Amino acid sequence: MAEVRLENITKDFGRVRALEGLSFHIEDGEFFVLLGPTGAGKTTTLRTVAGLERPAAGRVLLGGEDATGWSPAQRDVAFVFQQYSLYPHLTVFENLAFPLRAPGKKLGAREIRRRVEEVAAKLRIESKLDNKATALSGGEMQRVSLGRALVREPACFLMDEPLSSLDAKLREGLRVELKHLQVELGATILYVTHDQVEAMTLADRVGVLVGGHLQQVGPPEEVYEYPDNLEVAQQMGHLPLNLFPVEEEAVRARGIDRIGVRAEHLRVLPEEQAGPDDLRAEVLRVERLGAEEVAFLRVGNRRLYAMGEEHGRFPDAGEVAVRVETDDSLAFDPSGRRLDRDPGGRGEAPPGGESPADAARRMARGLRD
Amino acid sequence: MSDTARSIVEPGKRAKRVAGLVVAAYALVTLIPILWIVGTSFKSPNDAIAYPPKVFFEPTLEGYVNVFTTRSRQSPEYMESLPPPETWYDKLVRQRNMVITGPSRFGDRYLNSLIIGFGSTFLTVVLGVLAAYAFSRFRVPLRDDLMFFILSTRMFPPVAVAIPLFLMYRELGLSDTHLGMIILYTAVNLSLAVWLLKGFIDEIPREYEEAAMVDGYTRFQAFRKVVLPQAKAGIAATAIFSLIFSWNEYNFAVLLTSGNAQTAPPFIPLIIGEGGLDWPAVAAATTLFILPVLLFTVLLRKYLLAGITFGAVR
Repeated sequence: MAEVRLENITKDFGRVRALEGLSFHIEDGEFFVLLGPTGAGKTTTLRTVAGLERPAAGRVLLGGEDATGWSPAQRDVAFVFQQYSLYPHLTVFENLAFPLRAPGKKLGAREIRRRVEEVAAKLRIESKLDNKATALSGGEMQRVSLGRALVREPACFLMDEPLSSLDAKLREGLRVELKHLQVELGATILYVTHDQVEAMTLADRVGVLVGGHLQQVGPPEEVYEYPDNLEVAQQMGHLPLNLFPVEEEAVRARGIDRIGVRAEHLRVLPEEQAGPDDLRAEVLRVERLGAEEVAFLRVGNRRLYAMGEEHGRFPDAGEVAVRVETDDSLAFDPSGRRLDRDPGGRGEAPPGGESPADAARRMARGLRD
Repeated sequence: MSDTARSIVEPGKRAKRVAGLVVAAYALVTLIPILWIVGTSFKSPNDAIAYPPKVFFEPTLEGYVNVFTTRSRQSPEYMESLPPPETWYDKLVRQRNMVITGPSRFGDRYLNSLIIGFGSTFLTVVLGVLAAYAFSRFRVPLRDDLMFFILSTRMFPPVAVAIPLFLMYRELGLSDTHLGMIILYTAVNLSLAVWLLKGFIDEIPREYEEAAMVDGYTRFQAFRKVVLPQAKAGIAATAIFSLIFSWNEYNFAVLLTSGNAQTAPPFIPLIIGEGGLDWPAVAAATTLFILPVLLFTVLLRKYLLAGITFGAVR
């Protein structure tokens, strides 16, 4: 395994700039997740590391060596594709053996068989070795695809949304297995996804990529709780972020343009319990997901999302009171940058002014009127 | 109705039966001439021209013997003086008061056809698959124009280039050579081959090659190990079309070949001139001529069928 470093990578497709000055590094044995919406440049980043794309500028370093000009074969990285890309004309065994039979490898037939069988056992696909690759289920195909990467013992693994074409159950199962394998092997993994759940559960560190710019890098919990800007905050949430525009001059004067509150921090109360600062909202729909509930609310012409973990917390219809939990709101300036970035200073009032939470509460009062 | 569930786009039982009958009728109509040729090749000259035509007859190999030999007619006295015939074909020929004077040129012509037909087919497939891969995968400048240009070589009647080709081949010393004919048929077939193969290669996702290249193979190795096996159906179809064309081609063969590299198609009609209308010999030559393409197609049939389901697997 080796560390991976990207320095100022820029890449254009025709007139479209796909990546702009992208720099980050992945430590040896680290699980790094690149999270971003469709078209953010995640796959391009991955392909650049693999050598399938040449960057217009910048360097790719593998294990400390400049690999920018190397061919994919020279880089010794393994790629797991979203669509599995198993060679359809080969059996599972031949698919797994394919990288070991590469011209540079020179492994004996015995050694190849040993390693293929070892990986097959690890991924529980031993019984499928003689099947045609196309005669497998989706989950099995993705296991083989992972196996084809694992047999090689490469410098690092590159994974392009490997779980996204599986159904939810399988995806969760494989996700756990994948993390387990990574810890066991101490593998360096660069993993690309648009699914924030995968980012939260798998990553040692997560990088949020939007519009070809790396917005923020950090441990997933930290990025979730202290997003640098609005785009990161929106990427890292399971539900859309509730955004309140700030209209009060006193608050705006301190640079606060919008207040964001996550769905789980929006407190929903029966209408009778409404305090003076609370909003009154109409319940449009409630989705009961078993362990949790999601309410779609309307205040004026604005949609809000609230999430609760207890059952029966939300009434199916009618009016409710909504309270903004003071400590967990996020304040953004007009450019979308989050104010009060210092993780330690969260929720505390900056000297000579009120906290974003106070502002949110006051703003909420304004919305209600 | 039937008790097994089926999609509404699937044909029903009656539709399938009707389709079967239509296909059978069509097969019968197209097979009759071929069966007639094969039948004629086993007839005696008299049976071949009998009126009304004979469907049942006493089979003989005379036609085949005549195709492969040259013979001369002798006087009855001379025939009497000969020692008894050594072989069955000697015997067959002597019944008509003739003796075999040597082999005919049919064997050579047949061999020429094999060399030129398979040679140009091989060259067409090799060049076609490389060109199609390049057009499919690389950013070739003016790609669409070039593809159209390649196709446009099929748009004029071959006779339009007959005279320029004839002069060109004479100047280059390619007239009446195997190489010249292989080059010519390859040039004609290549347009179809590139278009056909490009379609098949377009269907193969690039990810397979990329996976192979990341797995430690060069682009060419990835092409050989991953693209070629998956393009098998397209290659087989292209090979069959190329072979059928170059095997049957008549006009250019008449124009550009004579003593050395003449193929079977211009030779077969010449059999008529030797010793009257020898229809059984013509039919025998034709029967033998049909065989290689027939065999080739039957051998590659399973890839042709695979071509129909191509792209359905992921």
